[in-house]
Amino acid sequence: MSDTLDIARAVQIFEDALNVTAPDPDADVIESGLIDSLTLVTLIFELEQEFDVQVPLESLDVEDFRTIANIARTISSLRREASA
Amino acid sequence: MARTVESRPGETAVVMGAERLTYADLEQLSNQLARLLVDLGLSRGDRVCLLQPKAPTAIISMLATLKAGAVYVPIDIASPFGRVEKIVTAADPSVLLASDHASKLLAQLRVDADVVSLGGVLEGAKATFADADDYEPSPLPKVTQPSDPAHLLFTSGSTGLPKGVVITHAMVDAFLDWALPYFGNVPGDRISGHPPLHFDLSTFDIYGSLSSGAELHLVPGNVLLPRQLASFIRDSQLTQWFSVPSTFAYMARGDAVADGDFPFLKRIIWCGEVLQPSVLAYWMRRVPQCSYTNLYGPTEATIASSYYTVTAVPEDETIPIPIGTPCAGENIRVLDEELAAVPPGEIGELFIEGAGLSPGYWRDEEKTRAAFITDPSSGQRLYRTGDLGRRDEQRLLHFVGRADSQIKSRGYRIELGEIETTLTAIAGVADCAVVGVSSDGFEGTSICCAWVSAPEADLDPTRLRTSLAEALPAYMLPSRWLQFSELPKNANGKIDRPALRHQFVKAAQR
Repeated sequence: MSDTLDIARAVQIFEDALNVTAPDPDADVIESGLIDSLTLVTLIFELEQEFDVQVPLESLDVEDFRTIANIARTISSLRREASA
Repeated sequence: MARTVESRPGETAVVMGAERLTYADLEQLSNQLARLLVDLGLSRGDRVCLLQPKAPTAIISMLATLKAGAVYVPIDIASPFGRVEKIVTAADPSVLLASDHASKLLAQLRVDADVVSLGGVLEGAKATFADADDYEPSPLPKVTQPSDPAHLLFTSGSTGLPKGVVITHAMVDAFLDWALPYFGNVPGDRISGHPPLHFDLSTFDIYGSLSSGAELHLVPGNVLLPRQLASFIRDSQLTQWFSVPSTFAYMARGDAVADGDFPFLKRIIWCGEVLQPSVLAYWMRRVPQCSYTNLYGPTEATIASSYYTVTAVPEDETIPIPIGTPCAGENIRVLDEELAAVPPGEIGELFIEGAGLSPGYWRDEEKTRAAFITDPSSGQRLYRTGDLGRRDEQRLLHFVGRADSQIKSRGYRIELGEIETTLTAIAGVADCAVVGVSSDGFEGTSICCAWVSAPEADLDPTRLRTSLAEALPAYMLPSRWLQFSELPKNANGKIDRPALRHQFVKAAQR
């Protein structure tokens, strides 16, 4: 799946899961306060359900979730690993 | 708090990142801001909406509002504008205490209230936090009674309109009267402030900490990952960590807690949802010196109404943790449909009575009457929790599930019936049922939808979800879907919900 399609779905999940309006794909969702640790728990759960992946919480990096574009990239690479 | 200000004014009261307020700072800054608010015309009982993220200034704002005799309303500024607008309109505030994080919201809000800016430039602000410097830092005369409202907390209502729970000074005092001696809080304790300020749990963090002369350590918004949360607990040398079960599960799944971690930690407390015994076992094995306490209770009865301190690592991870014993000053009754007590061991609905009960929902007589009832036999006021439970032979309370079709999913209270009603109205849906299935993960309960398509209809879960999203808030949308040719029915011809739940559990295991 292309990154563009993943961005569209990541935006949808971001809005559905967190009940917030998703900003520009490159906007910093952490510094802007849209995500805190409690909402990140929800977001990761929804992403796992929607994309059928397991997010490796042990090795996760903040940068993986800093923007919606980064979230989409993180998910794409998890999906590639899962299907490899 | 007055005692600490007098005897140990230089002690730390609130910390977040590099920001630190002493008890003397907190006292003086909140007195000055309170005087500014009074000068703006704020009087006893008026509402002040807090449009600001979690920060030391938010704590100053809360105290200042109370000192002015008014009622604060914490607002989640990350919420969509529509929801914020509904809550602010319902609260009918005289003042908005806002930081520049809320500037976008403020630009859209049409409320007849004075804006006080807490930082940065806000257009149309009547005053700024810096203006408070001109006021006397001495204490204000006390104008409130214990029965006066102290704050309003808005929770999700069954119709989609948020309900404001009125929390009085006396309710908070009653909880602290039980909690502080029970947990043995002492001056110098380092207490976590993890849940957001519009969550009921933060009330205990703030007032439990300040009234025992402890340090309140607010968890900054950029502390996100399991190991960052663990570092926060470690580096702040917390003595108390109070959060929701999903956080404990998240940290356990991320394996963020080392053996013998958090040597300063004395107490671990959770509330709000059911904590998986396997997650509890993980924590108890790694941090064995702590006490572990499960608190139970709705916002309507202030923070918590019962408690259970776990004494040993759960051996059987399929047995849920009890909700325990009522906190002093409160009673929990297990009643049947006629409001008669059920015998020990039998399941009934949980009703709460005592000092922690709210006077009701803000400006909503009808909802208040439905939830707060008078016991015909004793004349006592009771809050109907909607939770099912039982008392065992040792008189310990156990939570069993919901009496109605309300569930809790990731902290949200959700009425399943409302989802079904909305689904049924979608063309092409012949039959449907929505059930909650608890999962082993950190999310709590998943919303699962079983549906039957009309013969000619061209439907799939994506289309159903899209149609539902037009009518329901996002957190109410089902995350799992199963299509049936016919829904399973029980002997009475009703939809067999336990069977459906079982099917969803099976489907998830495939």
